Amino acid sequence: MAKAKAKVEVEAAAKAGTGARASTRTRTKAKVHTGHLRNSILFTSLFIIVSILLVLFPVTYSIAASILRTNSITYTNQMLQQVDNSINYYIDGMISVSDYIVENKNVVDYIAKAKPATTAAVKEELKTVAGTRPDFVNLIIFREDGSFVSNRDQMGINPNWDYMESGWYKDALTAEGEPVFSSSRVENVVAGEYDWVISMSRALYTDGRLSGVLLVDLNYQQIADICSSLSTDDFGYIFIVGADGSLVYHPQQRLVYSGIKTERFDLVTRSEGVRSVISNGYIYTSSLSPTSGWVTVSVFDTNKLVSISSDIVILFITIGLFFSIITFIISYVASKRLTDPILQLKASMKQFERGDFDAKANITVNNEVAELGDCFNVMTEQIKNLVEQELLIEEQKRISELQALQAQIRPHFLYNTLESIIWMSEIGETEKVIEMTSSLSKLFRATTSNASELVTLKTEIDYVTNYMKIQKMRYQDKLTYRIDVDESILQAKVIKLIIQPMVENAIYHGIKQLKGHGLIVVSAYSEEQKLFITIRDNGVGFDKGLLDGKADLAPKDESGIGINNVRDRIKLFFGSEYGISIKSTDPGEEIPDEHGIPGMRTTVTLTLPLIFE
Amino acid sequence: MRDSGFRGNRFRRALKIFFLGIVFTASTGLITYAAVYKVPQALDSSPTKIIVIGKTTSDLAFWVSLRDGVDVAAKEYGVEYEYWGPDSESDIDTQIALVYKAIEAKPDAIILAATDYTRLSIPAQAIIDADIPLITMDSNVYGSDGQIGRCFVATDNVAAGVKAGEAMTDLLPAGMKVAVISHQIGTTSSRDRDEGVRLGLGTDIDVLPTVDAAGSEETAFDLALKILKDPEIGGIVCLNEYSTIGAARALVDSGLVGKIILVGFDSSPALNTYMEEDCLDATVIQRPFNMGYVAMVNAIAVLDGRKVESFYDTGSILVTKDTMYFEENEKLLFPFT
Repeated sequence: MAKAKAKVEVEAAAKAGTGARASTRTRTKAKVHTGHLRNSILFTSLFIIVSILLVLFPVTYSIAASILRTNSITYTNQMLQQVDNSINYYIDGMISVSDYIVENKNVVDYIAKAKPATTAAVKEELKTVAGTRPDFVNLIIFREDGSFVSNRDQMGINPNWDYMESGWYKDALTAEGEPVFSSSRVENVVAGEYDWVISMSRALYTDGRLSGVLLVDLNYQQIADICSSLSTDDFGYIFIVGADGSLVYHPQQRLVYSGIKTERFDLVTRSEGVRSVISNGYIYTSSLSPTSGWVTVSVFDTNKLVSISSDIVILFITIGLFFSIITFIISYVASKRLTDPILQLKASMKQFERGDFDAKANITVNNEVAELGDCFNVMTEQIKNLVEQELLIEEQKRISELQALQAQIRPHFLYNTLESIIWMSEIGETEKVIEMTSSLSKLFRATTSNASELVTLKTEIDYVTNYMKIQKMRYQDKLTYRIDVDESILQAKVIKLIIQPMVENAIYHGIKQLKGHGLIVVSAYSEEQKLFITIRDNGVGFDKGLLDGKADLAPKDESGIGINNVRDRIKLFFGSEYGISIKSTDPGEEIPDEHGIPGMRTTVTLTLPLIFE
Repeated sequence: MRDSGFRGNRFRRALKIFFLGIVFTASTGLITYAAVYKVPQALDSSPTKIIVIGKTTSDLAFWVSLRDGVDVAAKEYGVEYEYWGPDSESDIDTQIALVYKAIEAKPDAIILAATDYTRLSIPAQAIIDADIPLITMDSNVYGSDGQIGRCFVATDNVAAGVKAGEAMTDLLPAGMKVAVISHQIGTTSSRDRDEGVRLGLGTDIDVLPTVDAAGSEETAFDLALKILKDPEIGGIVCLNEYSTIGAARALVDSGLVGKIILVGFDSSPALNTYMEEDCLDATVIQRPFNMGYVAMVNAIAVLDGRKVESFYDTGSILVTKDTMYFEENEKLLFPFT
């Protein structure tokens, strides 16, 4: 019984306005906090992975880029070296061929116009030499007098051109016996043919006197093939510039010639050894061949590295995003594992907050949060015990207080009654003194009996009857009373001392001030499992203000126990739906005729549950 | 105060989550895009296909060189192409038929060198109506608003004609008349060169009405022989390769080499020889290789969604015997493969 009441109390408190506001605020606060923990974990792990990536990326990128760059440049330079070697080998081959021809006995005789040498013999020699190399197009020895010998049969000299005006002829004379190499050119010395060749020319001397010029034409395609087979690369290419600055070979020769593509000839250096010039991201490395005067140039396009680098960036971003997502998922799961028990604990706490002291945190994981849960459980248990204890004490306090109030009746009433007895004794009304004293005795017996708070309605009615008898004797004809209770409910249980105060009230506040004859009717009846006890009187009625304003109806005079006391006790025992209602009409107003008793001005109704033990 | 602080924190946190959400959505989108769109695109190996319709499939040096340019560009950019054309430049009907056939083949782009300015106009419009990008080269097509294709790649023929006319003016003996032999009078290249030549010759020199060789060397030869009968003729200007060859042959046949000034267009081994023999005094050479190359490159650029100039001038050079073995001219006169 005490426990149930305690619950009611707490619930009532929780429903109260201030309590509700307080709990709303705590809830808001709590929500933010749980979100925060998980987010912290997520953000922290993401921050770590992103930081690592951000640090790692530029480092990796720069290392990768520099390795790529170094490797590519090394590779291009190796290519340059290879092309250089092949070209030099090729040129050296031509020089040794020319050496052979120059020193050949028949040739020497031919240019010197010495006797045994014939054109046919020289032609045979030239044919033999040409046969050794498939790339030889023309081998021609021009004599000073304008006659010539070629390796080819039936070859005519282009009559429209004077070969002595050609560059290769003039250069050969200038070089005085040293071999001279042209860049790529169209050979126009042969009638009806216009082949692209590379020419080597060499002046021939007899006894220190110029006696002819040797012309060796090499198929241009041959040398282009060597270069193109070696110089195709993603990052760069190789081209060769002749001694006169014109192009010997370029992978996009036609495009360069046609002006669609331009080549940075200004970046080519013509000096011994290997030199590099950097411009607009292009690295031009030049290597001069001393024998031919040709410059082999490798061009390395570092801009192309940038596009490779952008591939690396995309790769890195993709990997970065992938790992970020993985990290996010992992930390999400991990944080969930951590926050779930906390949320569980929170739910238990909320339950506790709502007033359910039986709330228990059942945390399944085995970590600090579980310990926290255990602590919480111990705490709730202790709080629950404390609260119950506190309520018990409070209850006992109230009971003692009420008992004290109940006890108050005795001195007041006793004082009044004894005064009446004294007065009656003085006038010699022995009969009445006996009756009054007897009633008083019964009354006291009833109040002093230490029975429980609940008594039968009959006991309560008897008590009121005794009280009325005493009052009747005091007020004589001014007061009449009637008690009207249904037999069937006489055994119903009521709280003791609840009717008498109402009657007392009616006498002192209603009848006492009435000029005429006073009547009090006490009746009891049951309806729908409720017990109604009415105390009616024809007294002066209640002050309107007291009724409407629901003002405190505490007693203002010596009569002691007020209506409030009775109401509190009823409500405390049976709940808020029970209590007291008062109906009162103003003096002068037409009074309804109720239950056949006219003139009843005030009706006090006590509502209690209908209980039989 | 404390409450508002909380709200501020909460707002920032919400903002962070919002941005994080955006980053993740974007990255997921990016990855999905790469996986769904880029990868299949990279794997999709069906190459770009372009149909090139020239004026002729004959082995004229000009067209051989132009086709070389197309080929080099196609190889450089990894594009597949087919070269179509009538046997003769005068076979306009066949070229019109080829254009319609090309539209049916649904290539990614069509490059056209029109044999006739007006008659190819409707077929060219059909190409555009079929949503196939059109690039014109060498000779343009009539379009209602001036330009029909995305880009016209050609020699500035008026400027080239002016060069020929000026060379003739320099070489022509005083008081003599000049004749002009056109190659295909309906084409823009012919009209523009003719106009240029007359501009170059100025108003003091008497120029006969232009005659048309109509795509045939023989016709040019006959026309030249006829012209040479006129004793007042001091020079002939021919507007393309075979008309020049025809006229040069006529000069040789008539024994008038060195007496009549011949200024031609284009080059070929035969023309080079005529030039060495002082039969051909000067020729205006174009850059057919460049023409083919640039037309192809521009077609690819259009397909890639890049902007191209509406007219690309491949330029022209006047070459005489004295300058023919200059390095820059040598490469144009004797194209190597």
